[in-house]
Amino acid sequence: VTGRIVAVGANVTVPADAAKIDATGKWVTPGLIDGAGQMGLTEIGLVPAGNEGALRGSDIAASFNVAEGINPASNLIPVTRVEGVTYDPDVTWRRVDRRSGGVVDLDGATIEQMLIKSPVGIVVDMSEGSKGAGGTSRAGVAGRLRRVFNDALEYSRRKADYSRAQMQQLAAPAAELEALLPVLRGQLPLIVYANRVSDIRTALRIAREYKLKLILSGAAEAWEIAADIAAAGVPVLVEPMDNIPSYDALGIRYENAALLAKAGVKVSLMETETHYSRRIRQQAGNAVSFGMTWDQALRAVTLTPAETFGVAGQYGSLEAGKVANVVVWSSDPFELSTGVEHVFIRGKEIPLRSRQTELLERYRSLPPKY
Amino acid sequence: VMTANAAWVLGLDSITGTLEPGKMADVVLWSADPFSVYAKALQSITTAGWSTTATIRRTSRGPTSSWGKSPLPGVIDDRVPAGSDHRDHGRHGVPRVGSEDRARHGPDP
Repeated sequence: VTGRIVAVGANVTVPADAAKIDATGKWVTPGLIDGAGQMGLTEIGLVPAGNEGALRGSDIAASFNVAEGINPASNLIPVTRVEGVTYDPDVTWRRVDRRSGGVVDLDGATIEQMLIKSPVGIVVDMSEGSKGAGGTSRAGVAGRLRRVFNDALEYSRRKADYSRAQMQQLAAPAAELEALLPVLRGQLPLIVYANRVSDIRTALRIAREYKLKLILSGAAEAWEIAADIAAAGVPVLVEPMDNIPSYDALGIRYENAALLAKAGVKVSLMETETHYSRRIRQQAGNAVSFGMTWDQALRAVTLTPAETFGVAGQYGSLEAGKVANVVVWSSDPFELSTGVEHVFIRGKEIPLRSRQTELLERYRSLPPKY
Repeated sequence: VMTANAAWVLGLDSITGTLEPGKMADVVLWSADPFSVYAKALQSITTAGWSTTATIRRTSRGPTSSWGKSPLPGVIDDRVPAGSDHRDHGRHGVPRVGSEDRARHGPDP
């Protein structure tokens, strides 16, 4: 198969016709993975024409798959990949229930060419932001979620009754309940966005009750119960540079990622502002300055997110047989002054051009060259 | 750009912006090269904090975050009035403002 890593090491046999890149003194890593981001689903935040990542009108939307909203021609994709980020999960946020579209490689002319896996999970917001869906109470959100889950299970047992209209009214349309069944069978993860300790505990409790495969996202106060999260074997997606307290997370702090990693939690890092997905490496560098080891931080932007999203067999490390997403850096990839020298996605070298380099060239000399 | 030039732009270069005898003792002790992602401000000494609103603060802050204050001790940021309610991430001198903060916590429901 083309586009795969054939061999890694100092003493491998290099075919005579192989293209050679002198990376003496350089750093080579797998393409970085941002644990959040909506690449191809957003262009300009305030312009609705470019925003495809959210579904309005329904707060139970498990059947909503964002994949077909992805725009492979998005200007954000080259801007991001020329900085060494080669892969994003297109996760959609907010409301009680949203399906995540999948994970994508940041190269390809079509959605099919970009898509690695879809879906990767169903997203549930259990933070302050979704209280409206539970009658403005966290307890209401949890109760509603259980009702939806219970109805989905009952619907799956009684489809014949449903089609004969011999069931009580369901908590959500049948198509949404149907889409939840892989989660309730433990085949597809439930990705819960929660920040407050009590909300994280609710997510852990519900996951135990229904035997779900849980992923925590946000998790600002997770450090307070890191041992419990580690014991539950639940992976966590965190944003290291988030430290603004709110009533959703009074205990938010820069050391969250480090403390979780120290407790043995599988930590992935994320940059929730898609336009800054390329800054995931600075998130990682800052996580190091607040206590993560460098190795933990690299893993948190490569192999761990690949494991969390179920694609580690193909992504996340430089190993023979894996997809050849490779970046050559001028120095330590987490340092602000480090530049990207080569980016390969699926074995293909990506030209280091983007909207930004085009603007630079146009306005390098005035009047601009049109 | 972040010290002497910024002081000159604000017309304050005679009193701050460089470490020289006679100038204000606005000094930051860094754990490493301040441009490194790994650097932290360990200690800052500020005799008088000036800002665009010309408020004067007398502070001596330790290594904790600078939330709600100017983003980086010892570095002049002429966009952030001292003591304002500006919510800043203190991302090593890069202030985050307005829509970015909102985006950071996800879109409005």
